Amino acid sequence: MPGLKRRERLLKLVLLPPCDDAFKAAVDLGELARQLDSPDEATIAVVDDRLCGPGMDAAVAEHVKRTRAEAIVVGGPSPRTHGEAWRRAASGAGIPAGRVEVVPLWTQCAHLAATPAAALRRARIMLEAAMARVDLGPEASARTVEASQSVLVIGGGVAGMQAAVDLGDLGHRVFLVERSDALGGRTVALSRTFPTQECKPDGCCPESCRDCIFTPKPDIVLSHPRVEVMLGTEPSSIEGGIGGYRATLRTPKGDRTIEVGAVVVATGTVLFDPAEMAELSPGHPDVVTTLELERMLDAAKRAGGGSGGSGGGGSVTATPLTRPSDGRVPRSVHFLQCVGSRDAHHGTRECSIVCCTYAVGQALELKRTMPPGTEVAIHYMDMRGPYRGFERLYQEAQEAGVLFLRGRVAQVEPFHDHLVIEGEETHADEPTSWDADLVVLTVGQLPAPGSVALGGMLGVPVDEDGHLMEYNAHWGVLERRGVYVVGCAAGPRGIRYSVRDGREAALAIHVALRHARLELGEGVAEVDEGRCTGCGQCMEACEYDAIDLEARTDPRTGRRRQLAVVDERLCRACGGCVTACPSTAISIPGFSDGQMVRQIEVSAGERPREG
Amino acid sequence: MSTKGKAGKGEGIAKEWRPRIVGFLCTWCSYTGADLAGVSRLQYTPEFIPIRVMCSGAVDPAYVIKALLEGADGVLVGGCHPGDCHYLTGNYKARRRFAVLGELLEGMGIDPRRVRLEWISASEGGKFAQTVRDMERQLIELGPNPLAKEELL
Repeated sequence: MPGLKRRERLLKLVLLPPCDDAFKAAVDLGELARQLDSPDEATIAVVDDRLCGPGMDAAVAEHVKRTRAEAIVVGGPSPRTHGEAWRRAASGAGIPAGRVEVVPLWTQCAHLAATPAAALRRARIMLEAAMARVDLGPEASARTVEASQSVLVIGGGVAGMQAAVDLGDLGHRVFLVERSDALGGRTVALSRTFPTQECKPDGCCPESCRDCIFTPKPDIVLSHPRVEVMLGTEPSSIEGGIGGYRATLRTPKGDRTIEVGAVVVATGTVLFDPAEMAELSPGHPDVVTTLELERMLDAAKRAGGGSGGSGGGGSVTATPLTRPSDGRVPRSVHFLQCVGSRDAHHGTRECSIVCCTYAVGQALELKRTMPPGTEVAIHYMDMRGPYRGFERLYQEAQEAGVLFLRGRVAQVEPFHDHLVIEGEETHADEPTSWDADLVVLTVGQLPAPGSVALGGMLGVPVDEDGHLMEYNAHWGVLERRGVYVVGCAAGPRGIRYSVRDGREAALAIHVALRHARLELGEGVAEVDEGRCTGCGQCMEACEYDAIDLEARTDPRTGRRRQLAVVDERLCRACGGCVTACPSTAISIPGFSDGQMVRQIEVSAGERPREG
Repeated sequence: MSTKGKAGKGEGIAKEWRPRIVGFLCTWCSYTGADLAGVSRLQYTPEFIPIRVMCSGAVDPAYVIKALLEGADGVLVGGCHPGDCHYLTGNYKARRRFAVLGELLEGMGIDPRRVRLEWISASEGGKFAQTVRDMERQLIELGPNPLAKEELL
């Protein structure tokens, strides 16, 4: 690189890990090292087997110590897959991340050249281009910002409660806001839950119950020293970024503003309101939803001497429930699945995930508690039990005599003292009708009201139903750093999965915020205040609202004027502002103009002879 | 140790001459697509030299021109497919700049066919290799870049 001789140079260590036999056969690494190794050019090249595998960190540290290198260029695996590992190893050896270049010889050089000589030549150009750019690599280690370790949890159902308790246990101050006047969410309304069919989180279940162990209880949340619960409260605005969110909360006592480092969204779902499906007679007293049936089952259970269970281990006396219209014990109960789910016209096109499981559980419960001979039937499209243990429950229900009728119900009409269900069954050739004393609509789940607005407030997109999607599955990153969506807010799911979500978010937040200063993974745009004219082009170009114009003192003239200021919590280092800036005043560390130009010079102009 | 062995103006093009192509590849899509092409053992010219960028929207047209002046015979800018940009709209920014760049190149006497903007996703190793092969064929037709190393700017 004759053109670079006059420029300042770092002592560079070129590491050539012999990734595998095919790589070694394609590129003569020994020869490559011999060609690159040059004290005049401040370059030391090394081929070392230990650079592949568990000894890598130690080998890197040893070579750096021996050579006193100031920068590392690796020629081997892709920076996309191995960049993080190399930067970490280099950092352990005292080389900052900005002075590490990973050149993908394995993926983008070794196997495409027809001859070893051509591969060698190309490897040299790619490595020399990296060596040219690394000289100007930023020396600063990863940037950190001050971070609040407090966390806002929105929603007090099982997922939100679990996140709050775990975060509190991990030492974080937690603000748990709940829109309604009680904690517990929908789960407290359930009489029995899958898989034990015996638990509910308020602890009053009289049966010996195992699942409660895994479900957070409201009193534990309320009594937690680091969790502040605000009922009847919703956020009205949330601004900022990871480590520094400012949330304004609308509480019954007026507005309150808090500073938090992260936000957990656990706003859950609401059940589909079947009122819009007049054909199912939703207003009839004996047409109930599954949650209403839960309350009826619960009332029957309590009426049956449930209080006797305080001694522990006792079982509930079977007391049949009665139907709302006339207080009679129903002789037949029919469940209609997928009301407001998997429907192009009502509710959601999606499956609500939990309904088959709880309908089968409820049907089995009815078979156990109702007089023998009571007809219990489930009208379904497909039986979907995405939980381990479901098959056993399903089989148990079949053995207990629950009728499973595959088809689609068209309407439910009152007739004398009962209801007539009309529809199709796939096993029958013609439309069929059934008589029922009680009809249960297994209603689907929709996002809680306000989810779309909350998504807008947080900068988190929603799916076609309005469920929040905080994780970008295409890119494998959070849509907004520091915002975690847990439980049904991200789409319907079972209790144990919601609880696990809460736990997972708590851990992720703890990992991010456990130190008072937060390490920003990606670099952030830097403004050269001497060059910035305050034109605002960068602000226009930024997709993340990370740039603002603020009145600052110009370092050259000493006068106050508008300058671009980057919010480092929001910047994603895409470089959109860099190309927008007409005065080259803004840059991304590691991708500065100087580095790019040097890399371009070598990549475009360098033509070493083969061999 | 290194020589600028480029066929200059007026000289006959050596039989084995292969055009130099500099590729600005967005790290999320096209660069990963290039990785996939390599892992899949797909063949393309060893005269293609990749430069990793965070986003196609961060490729300044001046970089493209710089590469052409420094000796590249062609430049490829690779980004995510429309709607798929990791940074939401970077590829649209690239597309807008590119429309202007074409006119600028013509004004400079550079055949705009030397420069290509392509959407290549991380799973399109085949498309990546094919794009480079197509470009090479095109550049062999066009011959060496006549402007290389002429101090225009």
